[in-house]
Amino acid sequence: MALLALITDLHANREAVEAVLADARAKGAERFAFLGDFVGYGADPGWVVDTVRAMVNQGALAVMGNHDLAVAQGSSMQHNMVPQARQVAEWTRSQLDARQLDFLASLPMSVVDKSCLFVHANAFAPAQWRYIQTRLDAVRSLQATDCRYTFCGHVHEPKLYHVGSSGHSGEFNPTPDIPIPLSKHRRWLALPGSAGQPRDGNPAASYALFDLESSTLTFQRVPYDHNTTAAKILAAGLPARLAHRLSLGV
Amino acid sequence: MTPPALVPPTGPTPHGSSTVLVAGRQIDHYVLTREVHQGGASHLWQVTDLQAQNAPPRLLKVACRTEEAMVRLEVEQALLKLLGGRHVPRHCGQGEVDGLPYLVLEQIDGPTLHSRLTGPQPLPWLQVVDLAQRLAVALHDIHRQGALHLDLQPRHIMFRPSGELVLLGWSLARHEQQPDLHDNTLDLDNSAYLAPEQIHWQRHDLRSDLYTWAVVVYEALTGAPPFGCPRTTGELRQRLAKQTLPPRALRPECAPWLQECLLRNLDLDPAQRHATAAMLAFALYHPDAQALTERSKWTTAVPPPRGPARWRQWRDACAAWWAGDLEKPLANTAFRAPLRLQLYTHPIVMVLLDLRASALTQTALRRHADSVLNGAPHAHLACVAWVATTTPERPQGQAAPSPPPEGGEKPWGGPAFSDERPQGQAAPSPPPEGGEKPWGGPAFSHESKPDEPPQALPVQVTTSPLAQVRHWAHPLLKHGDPQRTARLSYHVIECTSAELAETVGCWARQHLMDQVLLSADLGTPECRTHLAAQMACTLTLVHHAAGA
Repeated sequence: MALLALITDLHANREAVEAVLADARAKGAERFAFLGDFVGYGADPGWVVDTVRAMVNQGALAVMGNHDLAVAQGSSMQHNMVPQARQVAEWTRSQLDARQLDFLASLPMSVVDKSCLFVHANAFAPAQWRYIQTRLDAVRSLQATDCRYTFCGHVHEPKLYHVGSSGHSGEFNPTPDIPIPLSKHRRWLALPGSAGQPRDGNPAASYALFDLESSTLTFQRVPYDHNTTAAKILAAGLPARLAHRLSLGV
Repeated sequence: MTPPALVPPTGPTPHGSSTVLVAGRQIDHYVLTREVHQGGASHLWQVTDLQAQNAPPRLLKVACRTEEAMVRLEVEQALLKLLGGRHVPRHCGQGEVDGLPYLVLEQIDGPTLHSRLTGPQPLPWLQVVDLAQRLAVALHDIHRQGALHLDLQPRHIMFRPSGELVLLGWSLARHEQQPDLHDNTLDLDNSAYLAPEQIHWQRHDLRSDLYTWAVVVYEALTGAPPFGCPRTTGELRQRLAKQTLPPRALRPECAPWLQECLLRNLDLDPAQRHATAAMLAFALYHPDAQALTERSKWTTAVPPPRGPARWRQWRDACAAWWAGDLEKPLANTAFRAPLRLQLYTHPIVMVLLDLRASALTQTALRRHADSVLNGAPHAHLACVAWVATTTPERPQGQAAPSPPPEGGEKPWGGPAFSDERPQGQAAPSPPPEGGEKPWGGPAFSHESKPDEPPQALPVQVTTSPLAQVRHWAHPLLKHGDPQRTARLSYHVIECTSAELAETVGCWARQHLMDQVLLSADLGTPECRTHLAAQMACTLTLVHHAAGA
């Protein structure tokens, strides 16, 4: 069974995505799952969408994120976004061609592959974009699916939740590079963290590697040239805060 | 949607593994030889490894077919794969047989502490002290690796033929780099050894292991755990309101310093216990470094406080137990920090002082030591004076001083000297003061009576080295600040220049030092290089300019 790379919240950050893909391939990843939010915030939406689309054509999985939907469907879907995100969504839409917008619009809300569920926000209401912020949210999501493993994005911090048949649940802040065996006797919800805009205080891009054979999950952090990304954001006339936060990882 | 069942238990019986495991069966590259033990959660088989025919026999542990048993074995698999060192059984392999997880470990041919304690005679006093020291060192070793044992009991403490202490029973342990899979059920099998915070489902504090250390040593000393063996959850909670008999009431030869250590670590509030196992081990190696309280002299049961005092005790203890669940940890109680951070904030730092060094050098070293104490408010500073001797006094035929054999220990049938005890400390009683050399090699002595004022400063050849090192450290005491004073202890090492590196390295390893400070002009460059090679911790060379 191939090693599966779980990458989410790319947010049009070319440098981060390049670094993550190179790192994942170097560590033996043969399959890729993109958990949404390929655009928004960053200055390279076209390159990121083309990269994901090319990898989907080669067998990668991809699901839709709220930023992808907002860009694909235009202003009608942007009413519930913060002004800054709405401004970037409008800018992003102007940067993408019809084929790229069609690809975003065609993304599924979730994908089930064997015992794994891939979804951007949660399993209980994927289209409402509710965040998994607490253990209760995670349990609610796990109760809404038959899959043993749920992989979500949307939350830009890496986290791991589990629940047992007795109802006892737990949460865990993972350490990068440390393999975590996921017991078959628990059900798991993993947030790999954001590749393109981490918000846990560490500017390094975040993703995870999952080995379905040994049921082992390893969170990864990859430093990348965020100064170049920030310069591109400023050059594109996007809000300066979006550039600044990349260097802080907040 | 109703969540699906998680790998439903199958098989003819709840403990169905016994129906499929028979001698001669091959599991991966292991062949079952004989069943060693059958428990409620797992089965233990001796196996032969076909890929290592000449290797000693190993033990294969298979979980019973219940979800909890399987989870526990998986926890053990993950933990032992991460841990190493001589205090942990070696992980040789793992896998799955008939849907049940299994784990292969080295077989240790030695007695458990339980088998020692079930004898007709109580454990000799010296062995109790030795056990206390070794257990503290073993706990520090696993804490250093990021693990909490949380299920320490005499059955889970084993001794190799060489005398090394090994910790078994890792199914309830947790590692800071792995999610905690245990649910909130209390296992009454080990109820006598559960720390109060564990009863309240707090499983993140290394001081829980120190509480259990105290229970085990108390039992080894007196023959019974301090609070009996509660059989129900109610009894378990009632236990928290009880006051135990002081060990000296049951075993009069128990030294006050050990009673102080035991009662301190049996406190309901983790903040009142030793901060780390290394600090506990240091206290055990240097009994007179402890500030003894009234409880060290108790020989009868002391009734628990009543009224407001009782209420305050409960309030503080409960605050400590629940601090882990609060967003803002309480300032003076338990804190929810990663295990290693808890260790890093309580380091033991050794400062090596050459009493012949210039005033400039000594000042530089002192200022650096002060900055260490200021930067780490919970650090302990061991001020060690080196007294250079000119003629090594060794037994005939002994070419050079060498550290004691790794893991060897007399009380459990091994070699005479321990690597966990300072050389020259032949018995586990307080080491002799004054630097006697019972085996002829480098001698250690120590003194730590922080409540005494420092002696005057006659800088003469005849002045005691201890007095000189106390004088050197006097400015660090901040005008007698009791908190600062309690953080310093004083020691003397006597050896030749040629023996310095080996002696200091040995002392630092045995006393679990986190950092060693010494002057950049101590000894020769070769000596300093040799010293760096001997260190198992951070070594900082302090230059004159650093203190100028």
